[in-house]
Amino acid sequence: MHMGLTELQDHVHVINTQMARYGVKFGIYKNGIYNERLFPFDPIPRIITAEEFVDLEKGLKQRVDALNLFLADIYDKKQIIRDNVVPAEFVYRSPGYLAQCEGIKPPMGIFSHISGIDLVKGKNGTWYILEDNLRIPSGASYPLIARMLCRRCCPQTFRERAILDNRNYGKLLKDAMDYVNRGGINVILTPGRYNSAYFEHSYLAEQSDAVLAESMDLYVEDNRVYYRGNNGPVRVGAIYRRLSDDYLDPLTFKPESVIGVPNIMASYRAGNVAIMNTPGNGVADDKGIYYFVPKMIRYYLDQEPILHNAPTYLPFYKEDLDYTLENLDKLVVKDVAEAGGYGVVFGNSLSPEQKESFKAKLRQEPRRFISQEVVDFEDLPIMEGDTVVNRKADLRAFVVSGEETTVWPCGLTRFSRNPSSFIVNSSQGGGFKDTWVLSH
Amino acid sequence: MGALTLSKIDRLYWMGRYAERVNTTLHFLMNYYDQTIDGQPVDHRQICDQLAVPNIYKDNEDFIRNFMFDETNPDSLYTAADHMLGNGMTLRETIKSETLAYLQMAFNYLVRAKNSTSPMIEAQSMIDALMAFRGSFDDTVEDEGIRDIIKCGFTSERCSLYLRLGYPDKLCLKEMGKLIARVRHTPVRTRSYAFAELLKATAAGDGGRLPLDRSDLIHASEELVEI
Repeated sequence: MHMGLTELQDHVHVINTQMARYGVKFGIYKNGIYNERLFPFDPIPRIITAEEFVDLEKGLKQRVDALNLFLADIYDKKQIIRDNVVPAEFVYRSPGYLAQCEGIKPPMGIFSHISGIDLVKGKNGTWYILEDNLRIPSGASYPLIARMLCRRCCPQTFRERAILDNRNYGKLLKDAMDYVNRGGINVILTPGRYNSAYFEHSYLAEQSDAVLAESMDLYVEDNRVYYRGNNGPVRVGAIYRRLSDDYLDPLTFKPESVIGVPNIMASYRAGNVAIMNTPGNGVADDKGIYYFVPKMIRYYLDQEPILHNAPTYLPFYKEDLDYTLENLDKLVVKDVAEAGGYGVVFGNSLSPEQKESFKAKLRQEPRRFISQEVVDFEDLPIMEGDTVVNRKADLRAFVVSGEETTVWPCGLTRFSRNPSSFIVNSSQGGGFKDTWVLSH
Repeated sequence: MGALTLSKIDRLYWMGRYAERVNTTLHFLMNYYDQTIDGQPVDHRQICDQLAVPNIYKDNEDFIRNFMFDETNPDSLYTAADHMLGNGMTLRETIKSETLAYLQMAFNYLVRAKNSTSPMIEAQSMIDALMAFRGSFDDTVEDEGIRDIIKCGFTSERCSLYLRLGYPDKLCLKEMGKLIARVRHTPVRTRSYAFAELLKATAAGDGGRLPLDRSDLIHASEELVEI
């Protein structure tokens, strides 16, 4: 075992008992039934060297800064479309584009305050961006609490190694909320206990010293948001909302939403409250838009991208469609409207009949898909019982944008339990690891 | 008391009530279980009557198993523990993770007890965790108002269950006295008729006796706090 991590392996049982003690769980809806379960934790961390992190940090900041500029542009002047860098079709037909957000300037000009960027490391040592998550990326709470419990269980392991401290996530979040706050308290808005990431919502509220609220706790009057305090209304200045755009305001989006706050968008539009992340960010993390992010970096920042996308094709373009149809066996095709590991098809897993039917679908709705070369990403060791086996794993890095853009020196490493699977999502049965960034 | 919504006050109160329901019921069931091993237990039908829950149990053993562990039974201890934890989870930033962890542990012990051949050993650990929860919130939750709301929940439920389960008058009177003292300095509204009922009983009960019909007092204990 690298770096002599046997202490962590030896304590796997006690670490998991501690996880159960703190209720480190996530929920899954399957066939309409909600099940909550402990998020399986593997004690062997992913290790990122200090040297590696220097590039990752620069590349992630660069990417998130460009994405924030793209969002500011799309909901205002749309210069990138006028300059033919991104086709209008990819913006306006994206389900994440919200016409209701046109012209809104969020406090301090920040759209994506908490960005979750998914990466994998190829066997050649190169990091590739798989996906940008700019809406409500979840997962930071898990390595945050896991590190605390691992330190408690195996103090010597942490004394002996130069690992960057990850305790500051709550402070980063609080600072970002304070920076955009329009006067009043900071609130984390949750759909409620039966949301799959409820543990995270409540834990981050505690860590960032924010108030955890559900829709019934908030109301809007005179375009201002208030918290229903027992001693009278309390003004709300910033809301880190953990519900999707569609459900945020029944008077602007889905009228049937019972978990949103009526008129919250009016307050936001009037500049009286900050909403984190801003509604409408889905246009920038659409799988179709992903293709254009390197172009955005060149366009807005006049820089070469430091981190690379996985080689991607857009069947929307005829030559990419032809390439995809001819090389389906070696490609992975993703439905741009799906997330959480759903809508992902590996060409080589299809029967001849399925392949033909899928090709017909690609020809019929080329805008709906992207295709990518399958990146042969590195395996990481995980414990299965008492033995160590290798499994595919990705990394979700968290970038917090406030007064500055900061990359959290940690991240959520998710792995697949299935030896033949590349899909690591927790909703698909995967587990997680801590991510250590070494200080030297 | 800092900013709390009415929904949070409601959850604090009910978290206290459910935690006490689990605690008192567990103590009661531990004694009852002990009797079923080789003693002379009270017929379970009588307990159902006292608790005003439907008798859906075949016999005393079925009662123990089902009433403790059946997650589909709305009257079961399992359901009460689930509500206790559920309310607690929504209050993490108010009561803090360290305190919430004791409710989670209590629930985890209940799940273990369900699959154990000696369930009362795990039940004992569950009581330990509940006691630690009480100590933890008293020690770590700075806001006295918040602590008092939870304690109101504890005491309301304890009075109700002690009265229902036929605990001695003296014990019931002691808890009723605590309840009256508690609501006097807690930022919750009370129903005046319930308050008067409890006050009357405790004043008249100086000799340690309660009226034979306890139903009005049960009602008063449960209805005293108005949220």
